[in-house]
Amino acid sequence: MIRYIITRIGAMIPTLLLASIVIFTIIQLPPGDYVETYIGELLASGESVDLERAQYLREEYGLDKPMIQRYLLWISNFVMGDFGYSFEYQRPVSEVVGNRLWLTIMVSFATIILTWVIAFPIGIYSATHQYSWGDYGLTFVGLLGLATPNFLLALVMMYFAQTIFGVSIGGLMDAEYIDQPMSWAKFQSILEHLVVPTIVIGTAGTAAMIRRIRANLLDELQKQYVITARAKGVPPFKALVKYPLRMSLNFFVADIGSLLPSIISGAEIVAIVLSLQTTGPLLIAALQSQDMYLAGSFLMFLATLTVIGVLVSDIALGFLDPRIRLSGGAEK
Amino acid sequence: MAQTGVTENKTNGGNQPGQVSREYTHDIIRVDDLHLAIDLKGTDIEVIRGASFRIPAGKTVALVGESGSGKSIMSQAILGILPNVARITSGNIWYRENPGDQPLDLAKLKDDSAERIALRGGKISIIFQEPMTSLSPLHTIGNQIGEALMLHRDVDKAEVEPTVVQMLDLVGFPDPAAAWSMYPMELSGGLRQRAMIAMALICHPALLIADEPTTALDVSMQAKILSLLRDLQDKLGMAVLLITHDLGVVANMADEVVVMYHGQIMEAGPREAIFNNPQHDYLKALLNAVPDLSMGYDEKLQSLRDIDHEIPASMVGEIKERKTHADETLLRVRGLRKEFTTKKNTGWFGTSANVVKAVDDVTFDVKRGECFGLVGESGCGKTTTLKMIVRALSATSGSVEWLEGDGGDQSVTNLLALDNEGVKAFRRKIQMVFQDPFSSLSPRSTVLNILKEPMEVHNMGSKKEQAEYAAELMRLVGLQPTFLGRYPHSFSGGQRQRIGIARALALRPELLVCDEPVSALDVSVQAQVLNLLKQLQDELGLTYIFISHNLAVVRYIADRIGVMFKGQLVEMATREELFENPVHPYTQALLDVVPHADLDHPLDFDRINRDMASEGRNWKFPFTSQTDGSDMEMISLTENHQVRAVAGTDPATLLK
Repeated sequence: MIRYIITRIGAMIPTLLLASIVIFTIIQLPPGDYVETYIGELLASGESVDLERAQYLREEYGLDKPMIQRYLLWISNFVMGDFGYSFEYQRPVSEVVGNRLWLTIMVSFATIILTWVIAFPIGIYSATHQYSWGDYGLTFVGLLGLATPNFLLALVMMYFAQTIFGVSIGGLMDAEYIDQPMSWAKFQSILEHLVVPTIVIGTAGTAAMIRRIRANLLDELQKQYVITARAKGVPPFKALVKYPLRMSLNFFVADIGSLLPSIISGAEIVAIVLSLQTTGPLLIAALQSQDMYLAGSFLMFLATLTVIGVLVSDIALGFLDPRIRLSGGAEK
Repeated sequence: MAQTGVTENKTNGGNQPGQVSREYTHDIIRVDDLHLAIDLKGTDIEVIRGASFRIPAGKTVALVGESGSGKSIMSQAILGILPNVARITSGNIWYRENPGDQPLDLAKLKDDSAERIALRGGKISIIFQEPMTSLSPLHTIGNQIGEALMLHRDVDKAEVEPTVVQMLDLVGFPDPAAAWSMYPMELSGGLRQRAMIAMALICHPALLIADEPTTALDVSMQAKILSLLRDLQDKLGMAVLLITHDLGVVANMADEVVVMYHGQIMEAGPREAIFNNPQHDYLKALLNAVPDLSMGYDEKLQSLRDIDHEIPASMVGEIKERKTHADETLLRVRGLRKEFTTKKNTGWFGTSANVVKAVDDVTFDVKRGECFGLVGESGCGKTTTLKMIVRALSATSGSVEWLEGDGGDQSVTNLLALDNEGVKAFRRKIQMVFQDPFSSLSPRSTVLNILKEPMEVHNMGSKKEQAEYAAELMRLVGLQPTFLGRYPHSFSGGQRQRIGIARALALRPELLVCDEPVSALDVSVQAQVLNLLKQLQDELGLTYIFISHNLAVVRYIADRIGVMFKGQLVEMATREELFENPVHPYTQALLDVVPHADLDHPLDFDRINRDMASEGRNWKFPFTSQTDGSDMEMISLTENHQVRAVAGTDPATLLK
């Protein structure tokens, strides 16, 4: 197992290297660069720009060097913890992202926990009461949640919050607390603002999770060992939790791989609609303005987290399921 | 009918000669006019229609019937684990643990009531057919068995492990202490079934329901498990309800027999009456439909439902041509070997490689028009041998030669040396029939597509001709051509297996390789499929290689038989020679453990426990190698009888 983990970590290096090349190439693909976009903006607002200044900017940011050189510079700095400099914010990338990171993580965690708390009981109920009115009803509500676009739900909720309760729910805190040090009042304000985004982002995830728990549990409930457990006199609830539910968790653990990156990004559109100061809108803006180092480093983060997440899933599965831990590959 | 069966029992019950003598005290279970319905999309279908029978305390009652007769659901009703759609509509199940107790009506108790849960696993427990799936793969053996103990007995946590280990020892685990912390996947099928038995018996129940406990196991393992069950019954004194369709098992295990057909009890009574003087037509038919070692060599099985089939005109010409070449060698297998390297994960630290000789130097000939049978326990390498012949697996070494033509223009093709194109062409000559009729047909294709696919792959005829030929194939296996538009799920197991045979015949092969084609089928259709295979072989001039772990089946269909043990052929002879005069100790042991469906040949359980010749260690000289195995060879006793022994042994000394 330890050897397995070491080989897996070894395999991560070429994977990430490949990902970095793809990310860098794609960011460079659109014609032009940040300076061009910047000059275009200046021209549009009626200011004049001389070519010398443009040239100076290019040299300053290293945009005049060949692509390979720029890539090597970026990736070697990245590995050493220097994520580059954001043109747009005129600040190091780590600062720009760092400010928003913990807020993002908080929104994501709140969403994930809400999703689990709602989805698990409903999924288990649906599976154990298959084709009952309760199952149909909950499935219907779940499908509604799945079918409603998140951003639309966000708009609707904003409207009702404004007209009925008279509160503005945009943002993650009241305007007066932005850029203020943390205080009890600020924390309260954040909690208040957290409710709506959590519900909006959580709906689709919850519905999908209910469907998956239901399907996986239904598969397991058919199995012989469940009947064995009943036959030996295990009380119904324990027989459900100890055997089929535990088994149907495999998919859930395997899901951690995709969960990790979505904690620091994800729900970008909702975040824009609700003007949340999370990292999602930041990434979109960076891609639009060709803010190369910001976008590149951010995507690289996501790639790293995905790879680590998958590894964590696999190791956790090995711990949880002896079949995965004990069976070696056989040659044909 | 059912009512008289029960009253008759009352007078006859008690001591039976030749059985464990235990005085009749009372009935632990009395099923009285039970009706049970299954709710199928709003309509009730009655699956048990007024069944009545009894289970005397401490005795074994066999519940016999084909699949769908309601015998399994009966056991579920007694245990209280009915599926959600099933419901007892009327009748009683009286349960009385001790003679003086007030009887308790189980039919009135809710499945999840506390009283019922306390009975389940505590007083009444069950073992299932499938040892591979009835244990949870995520929990250790000790955890699963200990759980039953802790649920029903007031025991200290510290006592659980020693009690479980003691039970594991009782059911014959070689290393019970180590088994405590093992997972089911680390155990063989036989050991898993033993673990299941340990789990069922850990609380010393008054009644054990054994639902086809040995159907998924091969004969030697079956004999061991049956012997174990009888042993434990002696020691613990529980009653056993044995659900089975194998009359051989019934003859060796049961005190009383209850025969079920379509949810009704057809006949019930003591074992002797049932076997020596069967009354009901269904029981008589069942007794005639099962291949048995004591039947005549040319006797025909009487299938419960016979089928008519016809040979398509287009095939008749080829058949004549084939038959003129009868008795020539068609396939020559020489020194076939297959080694598997298994990597075993040894825990959290790395792996260790292990070479397993699955097939070790197998040599035999198959003559045109004959049926060559291969028998052996599961894991002996018979399926691996077949897979190498059809090129589904690559061989480590050896050759498989295909002989064609006669006299001057004989051609020999080494099948193992063919390239991909050559293999594809050769697939037209060799086709395979699989064991499991449920998973071997795609559920998403109609029967027409299933039958047409091989013709499309090999570009046989136009689309119209293919459809016509598919209809002919259906008639050939006794099915209506109008069924061609249906999907496999609308057919029964026997019908599916016939579709599988039709598909194998679609390319008009010369050699049909059958991998346990009837072992997944119910007894009532086994005879039907066996008879069909026999007729087709005769009428189409086909050659078969037929593998099975059921000796009676092989004896019924094969002309020559090879016995395999741990990847090697140990004995090979014509059918009569092998069954009348088995020479190798393994063959003899294998024949000894087959349960006969009559009372005159009871299994010798003492011997089964004493010496297991299937272990290979106790074989006398000259059957065991004196060195590393290289001194062994096949010695010819007669022209048609070879046995594996130390090289240079005088055949005369072996024959005595």
